[in-house]
Amino acid sequence: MAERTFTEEEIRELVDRYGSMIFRIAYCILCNKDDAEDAVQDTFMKYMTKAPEFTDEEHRKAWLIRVSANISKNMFKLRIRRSTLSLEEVKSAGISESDFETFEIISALPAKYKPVMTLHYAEGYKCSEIAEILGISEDAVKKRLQKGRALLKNEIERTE
Amino acid sequence: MTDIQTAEFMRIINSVTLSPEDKAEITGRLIKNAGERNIFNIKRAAAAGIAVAIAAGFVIPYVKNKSR
Repeated sequence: MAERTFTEEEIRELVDRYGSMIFRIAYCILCNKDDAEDAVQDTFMKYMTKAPEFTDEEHRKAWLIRVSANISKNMFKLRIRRSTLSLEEVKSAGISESDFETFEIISALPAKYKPVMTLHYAEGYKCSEIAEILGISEDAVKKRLQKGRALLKNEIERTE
Repeated sequence: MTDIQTAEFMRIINSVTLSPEDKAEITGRLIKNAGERNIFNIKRAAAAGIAVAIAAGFVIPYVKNKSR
């Protein structure tokens, strides 16, 4: 693969444009700000070292999502997951104090459901698009969304 | 999930964001790593050098002219 170099402006633009989106995906899987920031950095480093060719901006975005989700899931498997979240931790990730309990419930969802739910509800992707990005079937996406929603509903009702 | 719960989920997930300070920190680490791996573009540094040289090309004759 041809060597590609990046300017400071290109790196800054990349972080500005996609940093929060990648952080959101990583944070939902890892539930830890420091780990999520590491996942953001690893994703961008992979992007810079692999320097793939993209057909358009959507292609580049989809590549970043897939890589960040894979990096986060691998980190999740390797690291011991925290059993509880601290209020300070979620506040530093942008979540308000009043949302703390609900986010605790979201974070307790199994890792396989969270990327699908985040991409659908936060990034607005359709099931077919999520299937393509994550490399799974559309049926699997629909099932994970359905199951994720059901788990979340049960948990919310249980805590009310 | 009811619509209200879905809206709640969307609102909370969307509130997860990187602060400008966090972005700056990540950018700094990426620039450092890119430099260490030789994937940082030196064109910019070269361009800055050329700009200095061009400026010097104007300044030196000007100073010489003034001192006469």
